Amino acid sequence: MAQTQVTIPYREAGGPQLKQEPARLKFYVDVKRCIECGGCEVACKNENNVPPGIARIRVVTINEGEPGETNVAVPCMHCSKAPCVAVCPVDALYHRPDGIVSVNKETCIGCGYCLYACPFGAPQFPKGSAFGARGVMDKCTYCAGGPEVAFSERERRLYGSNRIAEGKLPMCASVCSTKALVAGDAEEVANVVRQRMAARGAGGGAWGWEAAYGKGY
Amino acid sequence: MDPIVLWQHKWSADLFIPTYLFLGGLTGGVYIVAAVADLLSLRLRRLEIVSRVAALSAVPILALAGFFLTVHLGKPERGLGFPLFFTNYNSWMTRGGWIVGASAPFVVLYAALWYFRVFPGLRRTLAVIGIPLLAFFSMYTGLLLSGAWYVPVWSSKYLPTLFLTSGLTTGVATVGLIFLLLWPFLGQAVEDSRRVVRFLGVVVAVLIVVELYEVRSFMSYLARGAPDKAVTETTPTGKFQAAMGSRLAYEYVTGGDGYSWKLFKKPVAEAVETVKPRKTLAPWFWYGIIGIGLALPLLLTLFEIVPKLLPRFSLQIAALKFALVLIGGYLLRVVIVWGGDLKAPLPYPPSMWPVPGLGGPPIPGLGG
Repeated sequence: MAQTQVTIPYREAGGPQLKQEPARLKFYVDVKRCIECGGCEVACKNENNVPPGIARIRVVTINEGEPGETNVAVPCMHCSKAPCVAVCPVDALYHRPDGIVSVNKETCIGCGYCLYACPFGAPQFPKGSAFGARGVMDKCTYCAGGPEVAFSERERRLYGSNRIAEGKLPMCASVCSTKALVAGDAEEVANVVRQRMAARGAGGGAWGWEAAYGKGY
Repeated sequence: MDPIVLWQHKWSADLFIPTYLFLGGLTGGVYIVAAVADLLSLRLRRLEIVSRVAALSAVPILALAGFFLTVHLGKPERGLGFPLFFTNYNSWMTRGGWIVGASAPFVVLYAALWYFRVFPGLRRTLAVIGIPLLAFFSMYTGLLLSGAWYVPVWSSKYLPTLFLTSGLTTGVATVGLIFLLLWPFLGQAVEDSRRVVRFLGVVVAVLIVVELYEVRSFMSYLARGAPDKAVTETTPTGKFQAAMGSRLAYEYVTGGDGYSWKLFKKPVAEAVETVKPRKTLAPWFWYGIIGIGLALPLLLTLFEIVPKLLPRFSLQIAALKFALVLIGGYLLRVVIVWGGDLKAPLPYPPSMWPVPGLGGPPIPGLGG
């Protein structure tokens, strides 16, 4: 199988050697800003030709119609120590050097272990096939394609677009009108979080932060 | 921070997983019954036929387990080639693939030796080696689930032993039931067969007591909301929210404190609605696992012992008892797997929304 040929964004690590290391790409979900417009869901589906029944990102509404209603956009959080990667028996799920958790659909056996392991419910399985067969897992790729030749027809068909290789951000974050969904280098994202927390005072944290990023991210 | 709970969407054919977990545990249980009976038959000749029945029964059960395991996969053909494809040895599914792969030849060879009635020495050697291997097979079904850290019900501390005990209980019950069905064709003396059924009934009763204790310990552990040390050490954050999640899981599975009493005062559906707006697994847990699968067979055994309450060691009652144990064992897997729909709550920012799906009085540690 052809290996990935993607351009990984780099950031300067600083220090005397001025060593360059890959950026660690992350999402930040700001529940204070999400207005449940569904733009991220539509943009994701359109950009990646997501098949019916699959939601690579979904907006969850809590306490709908009640005081305190709130919304959370839930994509794959690309956890630093991802439970899905840990449990996948065939190593179909793996970390790219830039921290994105990718899936190899050529290897996935469709066991569903990742479905239960993921705290965010990110792994998706198609429904409605013959005899209830589910096929292989599908998930948010961070718009980074998959383990195929970048921009190839095969990559496009199996995984969707590869905006990361183009030097762009994921489509969902790009279209988010309120910037509730922020994507990018972990340090940059962390700066955004810090700014917003500082502006809001105590308790402006990001939902799912600890689970997704672990200590130090 | 208040937590948020994301419920796992059920996926299609979600009875396949409980079914293969049940049959996997059953295979281990039936094999162990066969092996132990084989070894005991050196002193008690009438157990020889039990061993033979059990050994031959283990093969189709294993085949069925393999069938359900395979067909639940999205790509069954890749699953069948597990020695080539399973490369992540940190995953319990990979380890389990090898456990199953190592156990299957034992089960088949042992049955073949019984079928052809050859090499009794080799057969008993296989029995001795196979007991720990197949016990681990039964335990593995619990270990497989506990590999998913964020599911509070899938406790690595309790599930493996609970599934082992349940595998043994259902294994003895299966052998007892098959023995009863085949009785006329086995050519054994009637009194010997009665003694065998009685013996198996007593073993089932003892195992039920152990299983009840384990279920109670498991649910108490969840209710206490104690974080699991093993989980704490292995989760990505190093800080597992099981303290919250396990209490919630306890309520989801059992309906919460006092639920069992409510069941006896109101219709089930109404009682469920009283406890929570969201449907819980409580009817399956209380009526299915505890009532049908454990309490009723145990009571039948006790009533058999008490003079004049029931016919002493009636074969019909024994058959009913064994069947009930099997139903309860299957429902145990269903409840545990469906309990996996509840993930551990995730930290949530300040707004203090109640956990979705839960209303009523505040839950300790959760708000509400």
